[in-house]
Formats: sequence, structure tokens, C-alpha cells
Amino acid sequence: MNCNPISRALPRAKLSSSPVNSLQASTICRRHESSYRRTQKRLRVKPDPSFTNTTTHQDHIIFNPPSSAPSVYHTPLKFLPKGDRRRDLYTSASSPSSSSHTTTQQQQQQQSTPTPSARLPPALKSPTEKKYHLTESDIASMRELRAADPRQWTRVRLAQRFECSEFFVSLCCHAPEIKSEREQQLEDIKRRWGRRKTEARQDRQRRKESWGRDE
Amino acid sequence: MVIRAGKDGCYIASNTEVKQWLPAVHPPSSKKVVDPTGGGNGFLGGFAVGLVRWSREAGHGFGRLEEAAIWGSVAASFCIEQVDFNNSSLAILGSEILGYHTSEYLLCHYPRLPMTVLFAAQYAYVGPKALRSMTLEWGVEVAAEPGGEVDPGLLQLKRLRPEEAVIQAGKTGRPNQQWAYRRGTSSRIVYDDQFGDLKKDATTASGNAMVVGSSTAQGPGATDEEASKNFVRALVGAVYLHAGRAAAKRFFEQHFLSRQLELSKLFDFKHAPRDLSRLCAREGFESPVARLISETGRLSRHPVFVVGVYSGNDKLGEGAGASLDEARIRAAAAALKGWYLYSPIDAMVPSDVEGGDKEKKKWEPAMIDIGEIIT
Repeated sequence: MNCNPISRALPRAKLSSSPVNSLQASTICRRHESSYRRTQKRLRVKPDPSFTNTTTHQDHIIFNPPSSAPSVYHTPLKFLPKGDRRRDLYTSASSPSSSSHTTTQQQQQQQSTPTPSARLPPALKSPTEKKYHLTESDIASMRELRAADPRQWTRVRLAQRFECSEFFVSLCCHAPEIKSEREQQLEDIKRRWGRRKTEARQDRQRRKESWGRDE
Repeated sequence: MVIRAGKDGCYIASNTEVKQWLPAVHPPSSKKVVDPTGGGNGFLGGFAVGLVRWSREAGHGFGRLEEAAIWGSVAASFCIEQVDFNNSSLAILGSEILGYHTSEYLLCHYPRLPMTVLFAAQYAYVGPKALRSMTLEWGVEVAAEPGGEVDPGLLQLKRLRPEEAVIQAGKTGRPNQQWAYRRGTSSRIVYDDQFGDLKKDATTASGNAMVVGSSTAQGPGATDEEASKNFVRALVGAVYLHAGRAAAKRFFEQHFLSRQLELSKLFDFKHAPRDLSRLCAREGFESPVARLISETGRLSRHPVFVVGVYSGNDKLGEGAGASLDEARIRAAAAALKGWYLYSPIDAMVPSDVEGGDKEKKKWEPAMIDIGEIIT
């Protein structure tokens, strides 16, 4: 289905710089055209270049399979061990010019590293630099605070104070005396849920388990 | 034509020559007869060998049919003298052969498989359930009651329904068995059987389902699954003994290895993104980054996000899901499967070069992997 970007139709909201929003804006589809001519024009799909760029007039085979989920039995290039013969197949497939003539050393060097200028899809979460700024004394003070008043100095507050992640705080110190108290609070909240909410949560948990199996 | 008549012996008849009764070796009231089960099968085995090995020049003066019937009667007499005349030793041999061929295939063709997946794949190929379904496919059925005159094509056992089967706590071969220690993977490799399950003590009655010779006087009996398992294993053991090593391997390849198994369905990752980042750190790849390849219907009831996990510029795996988290985790799981399911081309197994024929095939060493990801 053809999707025209409708930049004029959308209200002029503040465009954030995140790549995900730009992807979202470009894929909103128009679902209706006002005249038959315009509809036909939208629905006219040009064939893929691999079907039209035929220089040979003899019978030939065009390999253009539809997109599908990749198979896990096809090991990616990076995961192949060093001595595997399929590495050569990968590199020769990525550069089509190499098949017809012998390659020079420079061309071989280019083939072994994929082109860095190829645009990659936008990252879900921009990778953050890990900070290793906490010293032994910092960690000791974190433990003291947690032990002194665990209800006041929660993991969230400690993480904010020491500028680290809550996971790191949980690795450094724990408060077993309020663990049962917190669990009891959670139990009370969960007991107040109705049938629908409980079942929805359970279904969600079961669905999450199936993600790891990737089935 | 041969008619077996139990204690009355047997009657043989042919249209050309002979029509006569042959008496049984043991008289009807003999004390030597302990268990008649298996007598019929033993007779047939001896009869078949007698037919094949008879020759006019051998000089006993009997015709082919008579000599074969004598062989059969003598064989049957040995069977009924003992209670232990059964296939359990053949079953032990057969189970070792099956386990050996399956494990060499899996280890050489999928060198990176984790140990738990290896156990599961072994169970899928030659475990009790697989052997039971093969028995059903071959059309081998169970006799209603074991006895002397049961048709030899049926399995004879004192049947237990699965809910009645008693799990005997025998010796498992593990040290410190009285403490309920956690059975980790390493200890399962060392102490447990080929599927990673606890070994049953060979002398406990419930673990021993005799294919032939399980009478009511013996232990509590066995389930159909136990009997089928022992039958198939005994069959493989018999093929090995009587037809040779190469024939046993061919039998295994044609009947067991030809079964389809989806190895990718045996994996279950609890923390796929974490495991993948540990793998990349161990192998010296750039740390994995999840990237959104395409999406549709983000604000609708059923969005689809396709996320790929990239290490630098190389895509390791791809996954689709109804939320960004789901797609990311599925992509990480797919990448890990892509690592673990690596299969070398032209993989050889050690039994390919057995037999000493050195000109035929040269042994190419199998790939040995560094091991699973440890977190």
C-alpha cells in the first residue's frame, strides 16, 4: 500500500530530534484519494530494478525472494569461526565486482571490512558511556546510609545521590529487614486487584517467558 | 507347515515328504520347566537357524524340516529352564550403541550446543518417548497376558499403567545421595545417564522390563513405554551382534537420524540480551546495540516492530514483536541461537573412519568449541 508522507496535514508540533519520531512521521499513511485517477496513480507499483535491468536477451534466472524472517540456522559472518569456508562466500557476495576478475590486495582489504558509511537503522536506546567514578569510600557510605535508615534511603534515592544505576545500588547493599515489609505491601496491592487485572498480568508474564524461547 | 503344541512338542508336515510329531525335550511334569514364556520365540529362532544351516552332506540323515524342528525344540528347552532368558543384555548393548551414534552426530554437527540442549536433543532422538512412538509406527503391539503360546510378534510383559508405575529409590551412582544436593550440569555429565536423568539401579525390579520372560512371579511389571524402549534397544543390539557394526550404523541412520528435530525449538533463554552482551564481550566483538529496522501500527491496537541486534555494522539477529521490548528480546534470542546452532560443512563423525580402511576416508578433526556463555 502506498504511503505518502503528509507533512502538510499534520499540525506543526515541536519536532523532536529522536530518530524514532522521524520514522513514525514518515510512515503515517493516507487511506483515501479523491478521484479514480489519483487512486490508480498511487496503486501503480513499478517492478523491482532486478526485473527490468536485463542487459542479456537470453533466458536467465532472477533471484529476488520476498522478505522473510532470517533463519537461525544461517550463522552470521561474525559468528563463523576463523577456518570456515563460508567466510569467503560472504565477502565475495558483498562485492559483486570481484566475481569476474582477480582482486588486488587493496580490493581484498576493502572486502574484509563492511562499508562503514552504510546507514544503520536508528538505535532504540543511544548507548550510554559507563562511568566508573565510585570509590571504595563512596560504596561504604552508601552501605552506611542504607543500613541506617532503609525506608528513607531507598535504592532510587541512593542512585540519584551517587549518580549510578539502581541495579548497582542493589549489588552494593541490601536491606533484609524491610524486605518482608515491602513484599507484604505488594501482596496487599495485588489482593485488591480484580479478576481481569490479575489474569491480564498473568498472561503478560506468560507471554514474556515465550519471548526468550523466540517461538 | 509347523504347529507348535507346547508340552506336546511340535508337528511338522510338508507336501513332499514328512508328516510327523516331534516330542518336547522336557516331559510334561518335569521340574526343570520354570517359566514357559519365551518358549515359542526360542523355538522359532532355533527353527530359522536350522533351516538356513541344514545341508544334505552334514550327515545327520534328517530332512531339512526335521532337523530345523529339532534345533527349535532344543532352543525352546533352554528358554523355559530359566527365568532370566530375556533381552535385557541386548537392550543394554543397544542403548549404548544408540547413545554413541546420536551423541557423536550432535557433537560433530553442532559443536556449540549447550549441554542442556544436547541432553534434550539426545532424548528427542533416542529417548523412551521416541522409542515408544517408533514401536507404534512399526506396528508392534503388546500381548494381553504373557505366556508360552503368545504369538512371537507381540511384546510380552506384565502391564502397568503409567500411574501405577512405582518409582523405586534405588542407587543412582551419585555420592552423598542422602543429601538432596542440587544437580548441576557438570554433575549430570559425570553421574547421570545419557539424557542427564538419574540412573536407575539395575537390580531393582521396577527398572527391569523384560521383553520376553516377564511373568507374574517376577516384580511389579512395567509400562508399555518401558517395554517398547527395551524392545527397540534390544533390536539394535541384535542387529549389531548378528549383522555387524556397519549394519547397525546404517540402521541407526535410516530409522533414528532420519527423524526431523527442530533444534531451534529446544532453546529457552531467561536473559537473552544479557547473555548476548556477555558473548560479544568474551569474543571481542563490539557490544550489541538494538536498532529499529521497521515498524507499523505504532499507535494502533496491534503494532509490529522489527528490531535487529547489531554488533558494530554487522547484524547478529532479528526479531519481530508487538512491543519494542519484545522485539528486542526476540532479536537477542535469535542472535544467540545463530551462535549456538553453528554447523560446520562437511562435518565428519568418528564412526565414519571405523573399520581400518584408511584409503577410504581421512579423519578431519571436529571443531571443539570453547563452551557456553557463563554469567
